[in-house]
Amino acid sequence: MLKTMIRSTFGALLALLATAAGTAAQDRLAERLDSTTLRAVEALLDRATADGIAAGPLRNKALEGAGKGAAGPAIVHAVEGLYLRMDAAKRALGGKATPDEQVAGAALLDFGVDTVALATLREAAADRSTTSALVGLAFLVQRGVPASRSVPLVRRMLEARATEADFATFQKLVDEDVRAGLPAAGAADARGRAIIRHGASLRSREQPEA
Amino acid sequence: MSLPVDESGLPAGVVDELRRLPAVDPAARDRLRVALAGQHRPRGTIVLSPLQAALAACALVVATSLVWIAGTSGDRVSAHRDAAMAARDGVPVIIGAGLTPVQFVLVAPEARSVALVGDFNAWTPDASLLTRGEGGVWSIVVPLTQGTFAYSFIVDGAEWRADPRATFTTDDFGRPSSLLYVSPET
Repeated sequence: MLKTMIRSTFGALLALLATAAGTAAQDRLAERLDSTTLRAVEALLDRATADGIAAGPLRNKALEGAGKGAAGPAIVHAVEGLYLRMDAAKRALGGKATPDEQVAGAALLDFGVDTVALATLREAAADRSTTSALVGLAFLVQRGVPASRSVPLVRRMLEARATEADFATFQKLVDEDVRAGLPAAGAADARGRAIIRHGASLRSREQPEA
Repeated sequence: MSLPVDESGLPAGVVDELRRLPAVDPAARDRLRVALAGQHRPRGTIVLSPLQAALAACALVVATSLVWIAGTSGDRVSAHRDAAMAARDGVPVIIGAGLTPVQFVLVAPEARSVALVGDFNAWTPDASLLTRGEGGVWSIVVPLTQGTFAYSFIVDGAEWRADPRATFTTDDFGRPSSLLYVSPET
């Protein structure tokens, strides 16, 4: 009886706080968007929630558009585009893809990495989060490392059980190498191999292994 | 004569039958959408049992107190609280609990002002202004929850710049942005 009361209290408290926060975020949308755009965005948010797509990033995309002074139709188009990419990423990464994985996967799809690659990385990660790996992969692709090279590299790192901290270190080291004049693909290969072998104990002063 | 039983003590095959999942109806999604279209429940409605309703009244007092305490901590902290709340999908945050300080840096010797805008401050230009350091290195530290955040810099109130050291996001509005992931391991 006591456990039930405690659980009920905790659940009610969380529900109230979550409703307050969600209402606050919704109020911000209402302040920044005209009524037509707001209705269209809210319909997309409702559809996303029903389909298991995280609504927060979609709401943030609408606020981003408002902050950048975009017109209503452009905002709706952007939110819809993100919804479709997140939906495709969620299907490729599996039904239990977290909101962060949906966002990171959506970014990759927009930069030319396909859903087969996402599914491959999901398999390599097993039950671990893929978010850091996906963000790191997007970083490589944007720096000019072709997906045909960067996807297998990231897959091998996941298979070697590289952690989220490993991927954060990897991205930082590759960025430093590129700024020092090394080609991105070569830096990624070298740093990736080292991470697989040694994990995050590498320090930035170390030169990439041959 | 008695039926053969398995290790569960039940007749053989009964457990397997119980464990077999029902087939998913492919038309379920369409029925759900139709059902949602017909729903007119006001946004934010919560259904509670009588016991939960009584406890919710007590919880409301506690929640109000917490929000009041957080709200009296100053404009900058309040902005960060609002920003952290905006960044998550309806999950509230109390300053100091589960936040990671993240430093944002932009080298812009020619700039007179640099603002940081992003998912964590509802893309509000004056919420997070960077401080200029030696050599035109602008920086700010922002407490963030775990998660993914799109962000950008605004130089001199007009020029939008992505973070050159971070992953870029989709440029939907002709103004570049970057993507940050704060992991639970950070």
